[in-house]
Amino acid sequence: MTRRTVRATVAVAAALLVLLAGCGVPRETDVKVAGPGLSPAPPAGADPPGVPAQRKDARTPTQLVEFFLSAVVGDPGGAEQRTRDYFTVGQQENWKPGNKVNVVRYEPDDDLIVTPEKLGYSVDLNVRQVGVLDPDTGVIEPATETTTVYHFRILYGSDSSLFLADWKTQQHLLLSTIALSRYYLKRNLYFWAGGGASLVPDLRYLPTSVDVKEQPTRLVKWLLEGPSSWLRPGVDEMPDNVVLQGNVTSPDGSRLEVNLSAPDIGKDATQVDRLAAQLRWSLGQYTAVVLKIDGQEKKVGTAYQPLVTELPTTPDRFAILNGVVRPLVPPGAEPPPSSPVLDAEANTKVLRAAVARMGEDYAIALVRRSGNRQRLWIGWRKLDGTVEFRALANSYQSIGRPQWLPGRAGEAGVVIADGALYRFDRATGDLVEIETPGRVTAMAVAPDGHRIALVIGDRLMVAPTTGDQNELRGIGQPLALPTKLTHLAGAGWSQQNLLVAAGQLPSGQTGFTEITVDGAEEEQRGRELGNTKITQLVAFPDNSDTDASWKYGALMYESDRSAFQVTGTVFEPISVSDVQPGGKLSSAPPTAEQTPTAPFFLDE
Amino acid sequence: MNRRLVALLDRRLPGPARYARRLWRAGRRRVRFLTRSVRLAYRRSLHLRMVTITLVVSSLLVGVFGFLVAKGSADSLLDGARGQVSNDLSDGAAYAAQQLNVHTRESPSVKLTINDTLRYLAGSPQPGGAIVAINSDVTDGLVASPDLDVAPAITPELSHQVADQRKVAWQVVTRDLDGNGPVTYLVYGSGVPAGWGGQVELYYLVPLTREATTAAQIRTIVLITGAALVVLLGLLAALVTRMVVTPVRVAARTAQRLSAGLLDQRMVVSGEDDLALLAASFNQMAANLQRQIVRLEEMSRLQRRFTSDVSHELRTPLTTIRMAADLIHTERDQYDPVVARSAELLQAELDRFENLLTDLLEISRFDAGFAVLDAEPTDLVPVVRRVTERLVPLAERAGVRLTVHVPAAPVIAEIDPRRVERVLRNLVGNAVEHGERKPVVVTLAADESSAAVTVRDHGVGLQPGEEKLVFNRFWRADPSRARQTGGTGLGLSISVEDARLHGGWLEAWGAPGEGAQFRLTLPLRAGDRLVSSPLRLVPRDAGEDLSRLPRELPPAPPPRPAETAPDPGAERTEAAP
Repeated sequence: MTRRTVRATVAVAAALLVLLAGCGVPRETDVKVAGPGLSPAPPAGADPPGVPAQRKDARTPTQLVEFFLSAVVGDPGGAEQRTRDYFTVGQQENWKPGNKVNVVRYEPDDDLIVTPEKLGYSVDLNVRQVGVLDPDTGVIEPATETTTVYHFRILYGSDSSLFLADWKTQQHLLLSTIALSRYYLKRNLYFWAGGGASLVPDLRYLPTSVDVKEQPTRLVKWLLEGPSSWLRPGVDEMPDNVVLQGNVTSPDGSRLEVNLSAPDIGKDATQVDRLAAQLRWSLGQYTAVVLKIDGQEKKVGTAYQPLVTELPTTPDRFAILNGVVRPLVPPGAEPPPSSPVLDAEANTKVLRAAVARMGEDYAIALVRRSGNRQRLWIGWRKLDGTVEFRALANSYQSIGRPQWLPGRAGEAGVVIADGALYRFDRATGDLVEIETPGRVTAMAVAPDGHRIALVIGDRLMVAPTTGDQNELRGIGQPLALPTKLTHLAGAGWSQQNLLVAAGQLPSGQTGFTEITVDGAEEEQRGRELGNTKITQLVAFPDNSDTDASWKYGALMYESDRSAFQVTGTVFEPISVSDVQPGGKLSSAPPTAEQTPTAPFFLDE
Repeated sequence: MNRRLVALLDRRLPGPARYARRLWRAGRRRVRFLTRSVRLAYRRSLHLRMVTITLVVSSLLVGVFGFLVAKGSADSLLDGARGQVSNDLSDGAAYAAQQLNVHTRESPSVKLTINDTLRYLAGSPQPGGAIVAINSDVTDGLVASPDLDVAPAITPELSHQVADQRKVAWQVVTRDLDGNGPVTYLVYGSGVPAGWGGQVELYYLVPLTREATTAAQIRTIVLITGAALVVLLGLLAALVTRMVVTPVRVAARTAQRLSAGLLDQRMVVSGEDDLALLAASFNQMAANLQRQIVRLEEMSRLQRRFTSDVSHELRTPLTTIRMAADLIHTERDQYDPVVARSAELLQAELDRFENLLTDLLEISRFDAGFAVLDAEPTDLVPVVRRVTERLVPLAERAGVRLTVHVPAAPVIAEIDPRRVERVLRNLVGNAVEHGERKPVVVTLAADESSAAVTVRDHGVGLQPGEEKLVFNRFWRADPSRARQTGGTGLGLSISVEDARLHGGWLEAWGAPGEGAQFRLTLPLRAGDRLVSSPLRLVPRDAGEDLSRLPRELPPAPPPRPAETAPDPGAERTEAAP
């Protein structure tokens, strides 16, 4: 080998050995590009949510007060700061409101008194404390604050904008019901009640400042935290240890994906189905919800529905004519073929009644005169026409209109007798008293069957019903609704979370108002009715979530021994011609005195 | 390659280049000096050379394969880790994109979403495990799970690729993030589209300790295995070449001994392979040589013995004849002139015969190797003078002027005076005889290691090429020349042997028509090796025609003080013409 070759070989070998010694996983490398990344999302052309006006935009004291009472709208963490912004500097110290927001109702024209002063204005604001909004849960709880008048001054600042001063020591945030209805969305969360028998809605307020895409996340979080404290006694407990992972996303834009971590539920299919149903209905307006528990996808069916969604849109209606229960038929319409014409002997001397359908049969509860007292008769009418009735043991001075319990229609119902609330069972014939905090004059069971509206004394109250195995045994703590009506005559449920009440309006005339189940919003419906006294009120609930005008005959009432029906805002009496003729009683010619009374809907 | 580089450096950086070159040369010299013994061993030992070549080549091959294996395994480990992380990152980025898509505006809940996403992606963080980090303008920088400051690990270049160029990019960095020492991380980053139009990047930092450990293990194993392999190959080469080199060495040694004279050295023949063939052939050659040498030696010995025997045998009758011839010679006046003449002839020829015999004996002694040198420190000056004085009568008779140049100081040399005299006698006698009545010059000179005597005559001279032949036995340039001294034809042969016995030189020069010069050079100390002579072989007054000078003559040594013009202090004997 020549010297040169030897030298070259040695050099190469040495170089390779050095390289070998340094070979391995490198300690540092350059940046290497592996591929294109995710393309940036096009900025969503989302509508900017409704944002209330700022303090500096207020031109008049009225505007300032209106803006001030909507300052809390937006990100809850900044509510305090936004409210503080309205105060003068001196006012801002020592002011430490809590988290909760007091919802107040006031009429801008009547309740706000502005008196010009030397340096500004002096203001008296009369309010009605309606409730307390908890921004963390979206629940409006019963009002704790009792202030009815707020005194303060309005001053001009150095930039000629208006400021609040002399707010005294009101250590709470305020929100007006006007702002509530403008800047908050009403959403129902659903909870199981009666051991999985039905879904009960729970009303929550979602601010519009929350992104549309974020709203499902917020709702699911609220749902998993459980029902509001008022409703809790009447509904089943939420399963433990269920946590939402991340946000509720919409990967393909049409379905919602909810990712839960529920280690305790795991394989329990029943629990999973129930959770799925709750989510499906709580996130109601979306077409499809995909539920993933610990990463595993679970089928979400629509098997479970709130009871209210199963109600027909045009219910069967009845009235009492001459002591006989007769179905009502709208003029020009064919009589419904299945409407029972009670030919029973018991169908006489009837004052008030309730009819329920049980499959092909009908269960009937009748309040019949028994001497100068009244007695409740329970019975049913089978398809083949056989009728069976039995009277319950006791007789009472006065018995109100009975109502079959939704979901258990035909098996159990409630009735007011001599100011007390009773539950009756068709099977056993028992009449069980249910404790109430006072003398009940009117009642209506919610379409879910687990809430009840009561008129006790002169107050309108709602309460959840309690009792295991879906047996109504009692009611939870009732919530008094701050209605503006007095001399309440009756109540009904026009929607899942909306009551209709009849009584005396502040103007002195008789009228109806619709009030939310937490009392936050109240609105007069229909025209005033002068001085008539309403004795009974029934409403058929609309199964949609949104505000809807009353459908045909959705509200019926009795006043001055006559039955009336309300369609939209049209009030019209129910005439004899509306009553279905036929049966062996039809031969009796109607007298001038005969007008239908005590109208009622078929209980489903 | 070197030359061009060097030229370039020279042009650009003359100063440093020169300095560097000096350093390089000095270094090379040093290395050469230090490795001299090694290089010597390398040149001398075939064994070492083969083993070294095997080691070098095998380490080259092992290096190549080991490098490929180690690099390949390290690359595949890294690729495996990369693939895994890449999948995790794309899944994570898709999840994060979905989660962040929920927000269309910047709000406090965005920060919550980012933290939730980070927690979800990181799972349960383990020490020494992967770190997930998110960078966004909402969180004011990087947030990571586990909660470490990962900013040092994300270089500006990576950040630029991920955030500004919206690419999925990766990089390997080594940082100490948790205070437990530097760890090599594979950092993979991807941008995440944010619904509100902000910037969000997702980074996965995966420690490569397992891969690095595995690669290091593989590398160590490869190195150890490679080194062991190289060493074993070297050993194997050593063993194998030994099998070949040993017999060769044995052959070399045997040949050495054989050439030194031990003619019965033979190699061991084992087996039937090439080495056995070599040994067998060597043995055959040695046997033939031995036989030949022995036969030649025997023949030479016989011849010598014959010559010496014959000479000796001839001596006896010669003595008798001589006695008788002497008797007749002394009584020759009593006989008639023809018989007297015959008696003179007889005696002259008998003298010649005796000289020839003596010379033959002498020569035969030289041939047999019986010649013995009786060296003793002798002053050469009186020796030369003695010889020339004895020959003065002969020179007068031949009409030759005999001149002697000797230095004033004595010339002490360890010589055998009898032999040196004989040589000088022969040389001067030849010069006088062939001088053609021209002067003959005898010069003696010496330097610190040798002494020389030249005898110059201007007679017929020698033809070119005859300078060597003149020392052959019985050689005459011109056989018709009269033999006044009665030479035997062996004189110069004997002189050459005498000179050789001293370890000296006897050389001749001649040119036709210009005469000849004979030079005897002897070492001053017996046993010394002659390297030069104090006198020129070709005399200064040799022919002007320089082309006739044979080329192989060495250049003239610098003039010595004793050589040139006759020393005024030197004695001269002149023969009067």
